[in-house]
Amino acid sequence: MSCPRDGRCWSALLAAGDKEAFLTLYEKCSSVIFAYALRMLRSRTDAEDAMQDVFLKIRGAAHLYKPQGKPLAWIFTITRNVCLMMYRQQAHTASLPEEEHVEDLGLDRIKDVEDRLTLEKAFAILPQDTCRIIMLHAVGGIKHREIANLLKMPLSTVLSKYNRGLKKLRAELEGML
Amino acid sequence: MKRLSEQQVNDRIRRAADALTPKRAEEIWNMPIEKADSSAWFLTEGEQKPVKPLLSYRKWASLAAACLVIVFLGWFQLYGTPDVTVYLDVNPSVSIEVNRMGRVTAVKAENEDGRIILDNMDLKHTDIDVAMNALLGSMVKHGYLSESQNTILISVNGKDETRTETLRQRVATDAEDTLKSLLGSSIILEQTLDLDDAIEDVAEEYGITPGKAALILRLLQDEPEWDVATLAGEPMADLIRDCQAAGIDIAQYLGNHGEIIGNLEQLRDDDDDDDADDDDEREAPDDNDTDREEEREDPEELTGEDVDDKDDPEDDNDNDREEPDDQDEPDDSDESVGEGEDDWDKPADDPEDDVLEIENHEADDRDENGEDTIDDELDQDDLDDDEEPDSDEEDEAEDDADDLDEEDDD
Repeated sequence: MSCPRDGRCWSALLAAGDKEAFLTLYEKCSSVIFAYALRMLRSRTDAEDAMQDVFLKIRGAAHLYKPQGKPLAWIFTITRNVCLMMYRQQAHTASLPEEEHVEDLGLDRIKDVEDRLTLEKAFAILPQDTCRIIMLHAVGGIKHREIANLLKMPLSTVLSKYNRGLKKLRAELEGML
Repeated sequence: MKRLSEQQVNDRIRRAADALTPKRAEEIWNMPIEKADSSAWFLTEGEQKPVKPLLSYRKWASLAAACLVIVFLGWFQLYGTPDVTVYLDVNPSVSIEVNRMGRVTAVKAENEDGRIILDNMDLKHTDIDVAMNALLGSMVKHGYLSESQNTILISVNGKDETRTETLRQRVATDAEDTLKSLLGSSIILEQTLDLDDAIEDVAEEYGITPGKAALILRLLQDEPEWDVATLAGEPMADLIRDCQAAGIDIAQYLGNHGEIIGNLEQLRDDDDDDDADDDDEREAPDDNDTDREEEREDPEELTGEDVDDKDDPEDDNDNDREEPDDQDEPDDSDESVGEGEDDWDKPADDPEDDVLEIENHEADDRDENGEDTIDDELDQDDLDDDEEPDSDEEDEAEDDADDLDEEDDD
């Protein structure tokens, strides 16, 4: 994510109250944040709340960002912490069984049947780690090496999980089509 | 089948996520924000991982608990679970449960005599050798084992054949050594048991161990008229004497790996020699016994056999000499002759039992020898020593004897 305008970093713009910088950031990052939260929390409502919280915290902490590293790692740290916090709260107050959470994903909002089916299967059959890697790569466009850094995993592990997950997902989808 | 490329799958996921993500940028932009400081919890990378440490802690706790359970189960399997049960019968009957390490896990008295010999001894966790030593010592101390009553039955039952056999041999050897040191000699019957409901029912009903119950049930298959209660109440030495009197080889009735350590003929000899003494040990002698004891003091001394032979109701040659002793109760003598088969129904402590056992036994002696020379001597002694019997009774007795002689000749 490059600094968009006036030679100033997006975080500086954001800290200065630049709405356009925020909208750009939202457009680029909201999908991957939402997908990540949805996979972890398995609830559309909770995922929306988490995403909103993440963006509010990004705005509130934009002045603390030091543009020496990769901004996505910083955003991902906030996303993960917020999701973990919500996950813990969810675990304390969880009353619904997991199947009902799965139905609460709101995947019916996806109009394209194949797209919906693919995401649904990814959530259903892939382990959380594997699904997270595929989401970050497919939705966020993040390279495997960056994912390895974000998730504090060896690159080989990330590649292995990614390839195995993708193979499993393809097999599942090809069997259905 | 439609083949999907990696790119196609990724595109689908990306499109689906985009379609699913709410478009709330404007709304969120208009929301109030709170300025964070550098120590805000959501900015820390390492500290905000509550789930992982929690899971890790749980994993470790689970692992530790599993290890403890495994260790406990292993310990319990080795030390707490009875592996083999040793049953000890003399007349006191005792069950000893032993774990894989050869340590006693429980001792149970099967009858009142067993409770007496246990005498509040705490044998739990002791070595089986020590426990056997203590129990046999207590039996000697309480008079259940003596030089003339030195017979024990050791039965073992366990799931693992090898361990069961090993323990049986070990216990039998220990018992032999212990009894040899305490009594000088011993007779040890040993067997391995296959328990079933019938054996356990008999054992529970008559207050004996399953080992003795199994032996009795096997004897009853060939001697159905024998009474279980009588056999159950008898000391092992007497039970063997009964078998010897009936011409039964008890070794054939022991269970798997049945073995006899010691000389069973010793019991027969003891029976011949010491029956009167044994009677005295087990029960108060009646008047007739006293008379017999006195007769043994006679210069023309009769042996124990002689004394008992006088009462042998089946010995036709004795009829003429039996009458002088039994003049007071001639009918009783006749009854005992007629009720020989019903002896097993009488209580174990009935003095007549012992007399009848001796009688049966000596009848066998006579049969084996073909001709009873002792009886001939006794006849002569009786004729010499006894006063003149009533002539009518004597004539009757002689007639009976002649009749029976004729039958024998036939």
